[in-house]
Amino acid sequence: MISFDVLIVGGGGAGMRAALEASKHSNLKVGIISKTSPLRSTTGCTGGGLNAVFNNSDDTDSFEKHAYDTITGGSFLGDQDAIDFFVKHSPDAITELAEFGAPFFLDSSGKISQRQGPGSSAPRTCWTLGHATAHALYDQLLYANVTELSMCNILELVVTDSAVHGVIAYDSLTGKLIPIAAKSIVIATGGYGRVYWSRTTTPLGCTGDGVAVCLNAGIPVKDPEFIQFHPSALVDSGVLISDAPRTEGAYLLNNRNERFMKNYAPEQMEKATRDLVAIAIEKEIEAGRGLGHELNSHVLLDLRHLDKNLLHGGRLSQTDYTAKTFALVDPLQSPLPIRPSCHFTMGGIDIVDYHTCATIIPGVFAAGECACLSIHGANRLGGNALPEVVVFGKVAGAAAALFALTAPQQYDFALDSALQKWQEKFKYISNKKSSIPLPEIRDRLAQTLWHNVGVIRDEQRLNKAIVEIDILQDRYTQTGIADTNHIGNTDFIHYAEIGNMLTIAKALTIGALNRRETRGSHFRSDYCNNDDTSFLKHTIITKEDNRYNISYRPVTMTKYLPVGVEKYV
Amino acid sequence: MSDIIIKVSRRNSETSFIQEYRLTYQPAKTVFWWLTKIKEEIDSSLAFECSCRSGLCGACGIKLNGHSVLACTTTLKLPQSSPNRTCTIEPLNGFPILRDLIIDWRSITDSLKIKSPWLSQQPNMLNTSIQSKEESAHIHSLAACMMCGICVSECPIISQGHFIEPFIFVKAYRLISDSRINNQQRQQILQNVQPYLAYCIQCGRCGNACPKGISPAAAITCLQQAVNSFQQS
Repeated sequence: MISFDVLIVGGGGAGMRAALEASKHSNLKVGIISKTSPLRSTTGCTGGGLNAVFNNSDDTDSFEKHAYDTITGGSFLGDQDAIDFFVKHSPDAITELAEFGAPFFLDSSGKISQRQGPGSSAPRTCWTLGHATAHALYDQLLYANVTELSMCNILELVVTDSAVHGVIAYDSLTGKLIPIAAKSIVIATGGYGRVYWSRTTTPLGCTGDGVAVCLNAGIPVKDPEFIQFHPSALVDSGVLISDAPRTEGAYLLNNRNERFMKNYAPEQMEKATRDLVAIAIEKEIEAGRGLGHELNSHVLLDLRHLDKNLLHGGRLSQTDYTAKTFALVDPLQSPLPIRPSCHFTMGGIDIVDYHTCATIIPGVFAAGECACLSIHGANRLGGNALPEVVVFGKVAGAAAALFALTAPQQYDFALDSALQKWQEKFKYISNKKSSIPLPEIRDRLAQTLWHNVGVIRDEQRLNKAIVEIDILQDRYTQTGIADTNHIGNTDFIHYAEIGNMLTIAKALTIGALNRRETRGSHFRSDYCNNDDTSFLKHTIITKEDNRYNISYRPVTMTKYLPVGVEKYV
Repeated sequence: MSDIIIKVSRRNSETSFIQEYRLTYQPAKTVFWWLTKIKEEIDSSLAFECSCRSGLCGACGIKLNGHSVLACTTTLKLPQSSPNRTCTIEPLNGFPILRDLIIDWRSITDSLKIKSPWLSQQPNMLNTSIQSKEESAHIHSLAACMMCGICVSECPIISQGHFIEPFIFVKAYRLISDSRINNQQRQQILQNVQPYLAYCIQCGRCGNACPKGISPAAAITCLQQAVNSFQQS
């Protein structure tokens, strides 16, 4: 049996950073498994902006300001002690990335150039190339004493009586279901944006595998209902169109050729916040003023009146490339079909101590988008995702190593019986003639979530979603896979991913149904304001067999009290 | 719309063969879109890889009609010369294949641990982040490399077994160009790549196919010049 002292699950930014930290203990055997090469992880597919207080462009920026922007951006749901820790550790984490070789854009004095992002009160965002953070960490991983097993998917986190034994994984390369024993484990598997399948900007692998295996192992999820929606992704492919065109003066048009933002934000128009623009677009589509049908419904982003130099070599060159490559549209000739899309998932595995990234199970830690500390609260500030990944990847790796140094050798029977269960399952589903194709279940889930647990939510829709998810869960148990090969069985991988997404979808919907208020990214058209008296608290959802239980935990407020009623649409 | 035939190279642990799929042609769809359509509507056993599907991560390199491209950014157009409205999709050349179109990247990582030029250096060799804007701009153009492997696939000599992946030279050139490393480190990197430089025949195919417009062949020329000037001094 493969065994490690420290096992990292997930090869993205948080996973690689955790592995590097754990491997500093040369007497520990450290392994990392990931469903794809670390270079193709979400960290390898980002915009490349990282927030940290360096005072390179503004002497007056401070940790307090970064913390306050993060707290208000998250509508006071973030834990202020964790946020304080985060903003203080972000500068060192970014300096370290630069030393690892991530090339940052510099100012004329040779220091990292900092620009002001939306929601930030000072120029604080450092920019590198989108894939550079992942590549810099990967270069270090090649030096480190870490066994790297990419193309390996986690299926189950094996925990008995609050003791962790290891994981069951599917190794694509050998085609085997394998038990991996470990004294401590860091889950760093990324977000669950793919529950909305085609309506997300996130990579194809963001199916929340780590969150689901934790839920199944008795670890709660925190605040799963908080989903960040970006207002503009290409309707067909979900490829992101950044805020830049709207900032430069692009129009949003409905099917009557009206700039509908005049009815929602008459002063700011298209430059209103992401939340507001996303809600406005969805309201237009619901009122029948969109174009297209079903998941392909959309509105138009019109750049035709903009200066062509902006698009050709200027600040909108990336938009020009994206439009021409993925929509085959010249934005100077025709408007772009766009719709909001899930961009980030704030909720995730419940972290009970931000100093260690510990979960309630001793020896199980989590970091990155799959984890909920919570620093993002009800919505994430642009530029806070990548620093979270490196700051808390390091924290989790260090804590997991420390745990492994004193942990006893585990028993293997729990792994053996879990393995046997998966072997039987593989046999069963690959012999089963499936009446319902797997992609159909996935697409129906996405459609259900988009319409009922998407940008606009209310009690009726959320109840409808619960019923529908239960039906899909039931159908899922009747499906099988057509590919009977053992090696590289992407059919089986997708089967497991869809199971994970169904598990998370239920938790996300229950969280949204019970939160009878509007806060940050969670917009309830039947409860239009935030309700601090009843809901300034974290949703905690646990799962026992197929029963989900909901409870709440207070938010940690150290310095700042909420501002009162926030005005939404 | 009339039908097209997409011929896909299939490979599993037992056998390799060419499979033909017949589909109704639709214009303006990417290779990734077509592969997904085949997988979800015709044959779920077809294995291919794609991650960001936005041209950012480099996961989805394949060969379309013999040319190495990213599946997510390349629109499938019918070859004008093809009499049967046929396209071929194959895995990239020069890599171990895990299944069908999927490259075994785990083995690549293992081999990079042995042959990477930056490996004999200590970690954190860039001990300060201060450098001029111009210096950093030069590095940015080389750091755009996603290691998608298209340069490997297009290289006509790598199959002979003496050469190493062209993207490694891009990384080496990027490192020696960095003002933040010292001459001793620079010399070490050059020593590591020097034995391979002469194998490059400067055909330029790597640079022509690179989705980020980087030329490994040009990097090799610059590395050779740097080796020469080190030897002179």
